[in-house]
Amino acid sequence: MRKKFTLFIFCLLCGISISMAQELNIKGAVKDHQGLPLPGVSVKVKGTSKGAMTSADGSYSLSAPANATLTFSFIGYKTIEEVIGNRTLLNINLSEDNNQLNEVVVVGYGTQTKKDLTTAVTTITSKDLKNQPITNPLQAVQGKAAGVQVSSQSGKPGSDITISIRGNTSITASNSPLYVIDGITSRNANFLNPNDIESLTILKDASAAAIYGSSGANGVVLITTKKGTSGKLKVDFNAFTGFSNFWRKQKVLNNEQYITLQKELGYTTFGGDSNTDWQKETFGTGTQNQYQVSISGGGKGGQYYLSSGYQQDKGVVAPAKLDRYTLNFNGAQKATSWLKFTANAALTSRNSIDVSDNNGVANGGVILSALNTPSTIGIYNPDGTYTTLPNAGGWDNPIALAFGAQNKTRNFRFIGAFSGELNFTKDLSFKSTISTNLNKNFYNYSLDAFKTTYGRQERGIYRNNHTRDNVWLNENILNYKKDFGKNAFGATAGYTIQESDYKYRDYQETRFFDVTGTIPQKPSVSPTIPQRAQWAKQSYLARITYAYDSKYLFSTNFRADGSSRFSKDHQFGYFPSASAGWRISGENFLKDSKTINDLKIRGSWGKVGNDEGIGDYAYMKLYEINAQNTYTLKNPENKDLAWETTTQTNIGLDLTMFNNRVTFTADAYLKKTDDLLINVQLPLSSGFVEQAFNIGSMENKGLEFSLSTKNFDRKKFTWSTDLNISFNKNKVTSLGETTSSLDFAAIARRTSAVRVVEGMPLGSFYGYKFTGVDPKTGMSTYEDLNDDKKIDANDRTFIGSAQPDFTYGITNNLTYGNFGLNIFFQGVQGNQLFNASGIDLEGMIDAKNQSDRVLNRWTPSNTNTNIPKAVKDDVNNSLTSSRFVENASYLRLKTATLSYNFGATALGRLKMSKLTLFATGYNILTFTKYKGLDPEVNQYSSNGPQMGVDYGTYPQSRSFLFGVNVGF
Amino acid sequence: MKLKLYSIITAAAITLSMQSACKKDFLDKKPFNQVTGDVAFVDLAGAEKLLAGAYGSMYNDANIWDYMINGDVSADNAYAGGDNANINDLDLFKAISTNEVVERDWKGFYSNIKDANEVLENVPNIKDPELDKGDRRNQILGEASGLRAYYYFNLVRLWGPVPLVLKSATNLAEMQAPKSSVDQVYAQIIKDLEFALANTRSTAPHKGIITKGVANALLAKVYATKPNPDWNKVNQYADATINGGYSLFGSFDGLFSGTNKNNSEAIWEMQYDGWGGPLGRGNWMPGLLIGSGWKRFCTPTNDLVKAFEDEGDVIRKNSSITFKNAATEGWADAYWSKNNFPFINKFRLDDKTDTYILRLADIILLKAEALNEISSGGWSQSKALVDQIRGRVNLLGTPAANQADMRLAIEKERRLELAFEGHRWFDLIRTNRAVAVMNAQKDGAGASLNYNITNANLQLPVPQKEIDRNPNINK
Repeated sequence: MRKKFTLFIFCLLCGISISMAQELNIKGAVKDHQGLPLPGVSVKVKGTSKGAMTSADGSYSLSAPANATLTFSFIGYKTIEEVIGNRTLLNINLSEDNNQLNEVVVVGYGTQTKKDLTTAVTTITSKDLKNQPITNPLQAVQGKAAGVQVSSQSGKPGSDITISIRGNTSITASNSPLYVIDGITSRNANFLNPNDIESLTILKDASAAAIYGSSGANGVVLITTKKGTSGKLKVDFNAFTGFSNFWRKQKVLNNEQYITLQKELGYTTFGGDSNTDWQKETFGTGTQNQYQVSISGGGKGGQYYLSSGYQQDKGVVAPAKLDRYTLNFNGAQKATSWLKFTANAALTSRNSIDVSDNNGVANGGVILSALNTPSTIGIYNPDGTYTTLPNAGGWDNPIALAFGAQNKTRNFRFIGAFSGELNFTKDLSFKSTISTNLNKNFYNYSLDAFKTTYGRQERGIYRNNHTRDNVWLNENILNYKKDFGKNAFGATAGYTIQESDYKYRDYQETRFFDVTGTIPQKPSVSPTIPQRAQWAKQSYLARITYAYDSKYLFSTNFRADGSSRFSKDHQFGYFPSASAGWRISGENFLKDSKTINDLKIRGSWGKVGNDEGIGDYAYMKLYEINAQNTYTLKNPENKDLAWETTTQTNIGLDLTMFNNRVTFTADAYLKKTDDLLINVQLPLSSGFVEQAFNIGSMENKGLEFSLSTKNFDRKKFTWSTDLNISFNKNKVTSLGETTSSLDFAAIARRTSAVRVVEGMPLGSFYGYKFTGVDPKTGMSTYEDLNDDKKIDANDRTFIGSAQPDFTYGITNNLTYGNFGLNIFFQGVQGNQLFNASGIDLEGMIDAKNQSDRVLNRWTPSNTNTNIPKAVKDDVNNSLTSSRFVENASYLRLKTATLSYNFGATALGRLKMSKLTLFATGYNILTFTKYKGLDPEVNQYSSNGPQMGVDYGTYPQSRSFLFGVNVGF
Repeated sequence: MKLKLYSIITAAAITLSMQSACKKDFLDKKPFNQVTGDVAFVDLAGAEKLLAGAYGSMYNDANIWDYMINGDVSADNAYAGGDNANINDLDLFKAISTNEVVERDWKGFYSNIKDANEVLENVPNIKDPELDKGDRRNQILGEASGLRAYYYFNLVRLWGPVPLVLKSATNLAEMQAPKSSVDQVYAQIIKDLEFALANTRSTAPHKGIITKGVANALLAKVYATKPNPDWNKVNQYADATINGGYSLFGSFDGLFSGTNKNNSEAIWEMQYDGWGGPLGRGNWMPGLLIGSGWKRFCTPTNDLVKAFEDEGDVIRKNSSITFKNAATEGWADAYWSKNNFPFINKFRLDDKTDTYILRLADIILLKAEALNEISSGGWSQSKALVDQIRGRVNLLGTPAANQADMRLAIEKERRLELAFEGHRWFDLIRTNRAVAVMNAQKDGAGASLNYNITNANLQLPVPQKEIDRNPNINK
């Protein structure tokens, strides 16, 4: 104590002596270790209140005594003290602070420092989002966050992706997380420009998500957009351009091989004399362009950020295309010392052109048509119509399917929020926010009456539909924070209401010509009726946090949610949660440890609810009003319908070691979902198709690990590695008493590929066990499971699973001088795909061209094979069986980015604060045993029960980009 | 002072949000374009809308097109044609439980039955006195009973024993209904038809509506089809139909020209006003049979064309089948040359083509059949009826002069008269002729088509989805 006092006096004296010394005007610039200017760095004359802030180009100037010391500090960087020593130019390089424990993490309705967290959360920052050919910011999360599985539906421009956090908790109800974009809730975030995002925080365990109650059952992704900082106006410009193609093609039969096969099937016509490479005609080269400019800044008590972007993604399969314009604004202003207003708005306009996939050639699927159309025919007939497959009147070639119809969507998205925050005292504040989330969609389709089979049949088609979907939300949150000595106490209470209004109307004209197809006539307009649906929610929430000396941490949440989707007696669900943490490193025995910088164990428990996926009125007995103004019963009654609830227990460990160079996090969880909301598939004899019930339960348990290391941290050379791996095991533990199974992923003319039953995980493939080919008959053989000497539907069993054993990602970041290299691998292990495309490519039952694998088919001279013989129209050789279940594990060099940052001298000449050139490869290398075009595809949603089916799905493409990031 | 301002702002914000929320029923959301029974079924108008819905749901795949697949493609009148593998399997007797047409028909008929059941369940409870004026309530119930009987008649003919669902299930266990025997199903069909006969009108605004004539005609067909046919009843109900105000339409071709909707011969006729019509009810079947898309579904068989030609039946052949040169088309056909390719010609008004479910010629020939069966000498009475039908198409009287020959003569007459109207397969089954006739089928060059069917092929498999979801279906 005495020592400290002496020191204090000494400093005081120094201070006095400094202030008496000679004043100098000092200038300089502050840069990061890569030489990029750092704006907003606080430069203070040590021991005084004097100081300055660096401007956008990192420069500062102030006056200080010649013998004083300057302190340079900036969040996320190590603070540096530099003695002036009579110098007037002081250029400083700040290095990043490896200690992430003081990072502020956004949590539900508030923020917390990382070291005080007691729940499982993962944060992804802007550096992981930028400079990638992605339209959906969530694509950048793939492989970066333990426990978060991101899968693309397909590689089509603008195609959706699915995210499941810690497995699938539901069967019918939604499995997608809730997105909270600057406080505005949304069911997706695909419309945001990735460049506008500052950070994504993923709340994984129930205790973190429970504050969002009903909507948080599948985890919550909190998205914070970039904000302005006070200081000089900052202008940033980002652009890239690139091209893409498919990384793999399929080998199909050539003319001669095709004709041989067709003769075996008994056909007598084989097309013409053309020799068309349909994959070459259909799968071209895509291009990607993106431009984004942002300005930001701040003045007295306020800050703003405004950005505008344009992105174009022309698909590998023309004419698939996406054009997107984004505009994003946010600003905050203090009206008085106790009142602050915040506003934000994001506008996105998307124009897209679709090509049909996820379908066979008979139903217009372009991808499979490119593989199934024989090379013997050309693109056009002499009369200008598109050719069709030989011996199949209605199967058009892939160019006809891609270009025959115009398939356009115009989408407009607006989210906006306005909030006021009142600070009653420095501990107590109240914030009220009103926000809106608007989605307008206009789809139109036209097909001429001449060129395609379908067009000729309908004699021309024009269709459109409009969707307008608006959700408004009002949140009122009271926050209290108080520290008493070593006790830190926090409380939050809130009341929120929201309401949704969905409207849809469609229109269709057909028959632009008379029956002969030659004389134009007034088209037929079908009567339709507009659709509309509404829901509302009303919630009360509360949270109490308490920490003692940052060593013992507690947090408890409670939320009550009322949903209009249930009957009066079941509207409210109650969702409590609690968590606790112990920072062992705060204890005396570890306080002075040289190796362990931080060690925390934490545990949490909580319940969350789900009311999605069943429609808005599922509990009522409803008669539909048809376009003819008549009634038909559509939905039987279920007054008992209620919340699906998921209870999750989590234990975790956070460890930082070796001078903050190694950070390790591990989590283990157990999630149990009860009263599953299931659209039970009803016996057809009931006259109904399905009905929502609370039936059964499901379980997910898993482990997650992430490790970050700073392998090298020198001035010239740095190398860091981030690694994460997640294991999840899913199991349906019950389907109730009256439902024995649910089938998904229908396969044409065959049994469904996916079955849900008690005791098996979601995404379990169900079918026959393929045992080979009978050398005598050439027919496929299947295992006779019930030994009744015949093969029928009772011989089906479980033949594989779409659930991976684990998923992982490895990122290496290297810098050498001004060069930077980022290499990111991502993989999925232990999962299988049901290759339904294989049925169309190896079935050998009709006029479709086939994979070259059928060259090894059974013939009287080739009897020892596992490819059966060709039999016209006979599906017995290609039943839903293990023959089409394939290993779909993959490891991908997802991105590799090489960048160059221009140094200070060059920047000074160019009057820029930042100039980076980069080249990025995306999906560069893929290692997989999967035989289809790509292992990362899903005909249906990849986080529902019908995951894991590939049926002519548009594959992921490989892209190469070149771009620039400029700052002024 | 400041504190007061805070309080005001806070209070304002809270009141603002509470106001919308505390409107008593913030969480009470009513559906749009859908109604609950307590709102819908309070008056005559509600009852009529529910009945109209039951009629409307008839316009599904099962009744628009599949009646021809089940009635003619399964039989010797038409090949599957087109590009639909499911129909091909039905044509070749290879359909299994996952066949999508089999599934959609089973599903379609039971959905139709559900809609008829809803009328029968709800309309008796509506308190509106308007419903009992002019006996409208009983008419409505009669019409719904007639609809339900027709759907069960289709189900029992196609599948044999089927679950008998007579009211909408209210829970999962109730929905898992076991099969009823063929006799039980027929008993219910007859009960429903007798109720329909007693309560429906003799005439209605158009022929899409169940009337006494429809009930009589269906009863005649039911008694002819059920196990151990009751030919006296067939005769009785056929007479009642024939005397019910119907007459053969003058020209056979006029029945299909598209210009004579709801003509005097029609007993029950699906009503299509086209996609652009006020009801927007388009018949999409004709576009699949013929038209510029050349989908050529349900192509007439060599055997049928030969039957027309052997009979010298030019009028009915030309009205039923049209030959076109399709040489430039990219497909090939296993049965016909593209240079002179047959298409069905009975549906000529595209999306506005009405289709007959029942017409008088069917019932006249059924009466002929009844008379021939009632007594061994009945064939002479039958001959007059058969000749009446033949006379319309300028054919001489039938040479049949004994009971056995008359059976075959009537069978042939029904085939040529009613081709592509969904009757042939059921005629072959009820007369026990299906196996013999199908196994004798030859292609154009006279080679056997090798169907090699047995009695096991005469019924459709229960859809796999029913088996998977209904544990009681095979108990």
